[in-house]
Amino acid sequence: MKKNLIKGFDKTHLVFIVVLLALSIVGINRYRNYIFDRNFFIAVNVPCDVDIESCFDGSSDSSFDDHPYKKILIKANQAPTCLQEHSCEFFSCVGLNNCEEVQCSERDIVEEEFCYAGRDNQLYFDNTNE
Amino acid sequence: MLNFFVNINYCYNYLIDQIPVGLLLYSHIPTALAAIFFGGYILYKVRNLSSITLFIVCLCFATWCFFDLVSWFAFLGSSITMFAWSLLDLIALFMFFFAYYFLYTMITGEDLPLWQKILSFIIILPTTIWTFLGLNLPIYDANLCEAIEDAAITNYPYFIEMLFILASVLLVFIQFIKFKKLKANRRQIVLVGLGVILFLVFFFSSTFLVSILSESSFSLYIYNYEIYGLFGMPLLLGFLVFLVVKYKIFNIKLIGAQALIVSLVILIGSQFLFVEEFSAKILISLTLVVTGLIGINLIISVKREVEQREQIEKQEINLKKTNNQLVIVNQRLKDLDKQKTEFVSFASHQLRSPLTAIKGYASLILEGDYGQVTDDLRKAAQIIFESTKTLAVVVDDYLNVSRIELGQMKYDLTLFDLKLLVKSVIDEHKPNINNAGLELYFNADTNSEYNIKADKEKLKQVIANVIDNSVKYTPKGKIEVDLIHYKDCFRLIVKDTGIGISKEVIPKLFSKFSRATNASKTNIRGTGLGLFIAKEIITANKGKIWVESEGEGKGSQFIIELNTSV
Repeated sequence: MKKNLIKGFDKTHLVFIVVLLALSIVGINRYRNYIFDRNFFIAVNVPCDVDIESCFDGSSDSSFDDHPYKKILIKANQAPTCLQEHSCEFFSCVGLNNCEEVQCSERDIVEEEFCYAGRDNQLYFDNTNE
Repeated sequence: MLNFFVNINYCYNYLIDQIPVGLLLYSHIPTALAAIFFGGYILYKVRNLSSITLFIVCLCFATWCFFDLVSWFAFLGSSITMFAWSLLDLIALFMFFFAYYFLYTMITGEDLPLWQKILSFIIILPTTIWTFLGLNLPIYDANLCEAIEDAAITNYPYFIEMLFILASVLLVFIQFIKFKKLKANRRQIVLVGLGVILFLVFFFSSTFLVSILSESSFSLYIYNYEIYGLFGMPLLLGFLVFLVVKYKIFNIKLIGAQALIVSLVILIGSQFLFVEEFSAKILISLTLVVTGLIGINLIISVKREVEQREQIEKQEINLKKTNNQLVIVNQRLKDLDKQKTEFVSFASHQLRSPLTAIKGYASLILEGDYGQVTDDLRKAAQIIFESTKTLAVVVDDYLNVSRIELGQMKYDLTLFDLKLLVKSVIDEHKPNINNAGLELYFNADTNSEYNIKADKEKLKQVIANVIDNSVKYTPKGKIEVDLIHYKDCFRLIVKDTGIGISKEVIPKLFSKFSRATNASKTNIRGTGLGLFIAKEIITANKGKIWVESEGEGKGSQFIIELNTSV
């Protein structure tokens, strides 16, 4: 009788326990990773100084309306709050670990984007017709 | 109110440009609450695999709705968005698995086979690992306020979801074929199957389409379409409520009114999620209260009616059961009665032969065929003769009853004069009447004809029986026999000044073994079969026989009515 009960318990309830355990472990790990450690990358466009940098322009992907811009890929735990608010005036990765600054180049532009040349503001890569 | 939670203003502005927050709340919260309420209610009422798996489906759905809503609310911050978003695929996969599990237990009434559970876990495992490692969401796009999914890893769960949908369709199809002869079961299978499959297809198509379209340039705000996939849950709940009300699945006595009122309250209450004006909120509150109060009254009265109807149905079932038992008992009684009749018939036949012999030899002794007999011997022989004669009548009565009951009574119809027949019977009984000191009068119109087509011998037996009864039960006075024309009939009326019959006895007098309560005072040898046989014979000759009496001590008259056209 007892053996049967245990056997019945195994068969019918093990599946629920496994699912609960799996979800809990995954959930706890993600919570720790994303919320405590903020261990993920943030991609964000920041204003770009066309006089000294190669800048992107043309994307209508967001309501972000600062043009021209450069792309920043930074670990979330390194990123200042102003990055997400799009309020950093002159953000630079200089001196920061896990921070990548992408300036406009043929390799990095996506659909509808184009690049501005440096000091003379000349357009030199255009992807708007693709 | 919402502003209180806003961490990132940029994302808040981005969200409200993209979709009305009220619509977002309306699509997520009421459906999630309805699912939890329904799943919880079923689990509270019934504890079995189906109710547990259904509750887990509802729980997964509500959790998914919550996390999805959080991931929409990117203004809470990128960390929270990433956390909520990262778990969506895994929760959805478990929800699909448990929806299939629920469907399986509902349709088959059995637990999901172990190999199917193991297989399901194996195919869900990669997503579990990717989610655990965070590989499905590597980057947060702060420009769009959303996570960037890894395309290859995100498409895998959609493939698995599709497999669960196909498995569900296959399961329903197989079980539908299996229950070919049980229409009710097939209908339930179709309804449960349809509910679950529609729910999964709605959910899958919206999330899958959104994912596919987000990679194209179909629309800027492609995730807006995701919210329509959630309406598969109300569909599933609708199907389940119908099954609970109509087919009493889960053995729950939920009435339609309850389901209707709860749905109404949820629908009205959910308007708070998108209505912002104070006056509108007041109106919704009043509507909610009034609907709730009317609903409670409606539920109480409908519940009472349902209970009464169920009680009547229960009584009807009991009545049917009792009727069936009565039919069986009645048949058994009929069989026993037939066996008894056959036995009586057999016994009577066996008695008749020796009786005839005894009566014959007694007659021979009395007639002197065996020489001179002494007075004492003559007296004894006379008693033997009379007794066997009486006994022969009784045996004949039993034989007639047996024949009637077995349907073996045969009638030989001939044309004869009824008046002559009555007269001959009276003549035969005259010695007895004189011996009893009674007067007998016979009145019939001498100029009229009384020709009739009937079984003469049996009719004679009946008339003799009626006159004999009058003689037996009339201690003193007279017997009057009248033969008259009455409309299209002949009426033979035998009237006496005898002991009479009480009104209570009259209806039973022509039944088997029925005798008047005061009959034994004057005649103890009656079998109670004579009038029963008389009635059967007269009825078989298309006639009627009945008795009239003013009561005990007031005489009686037997009337035999025979159709002249017979």
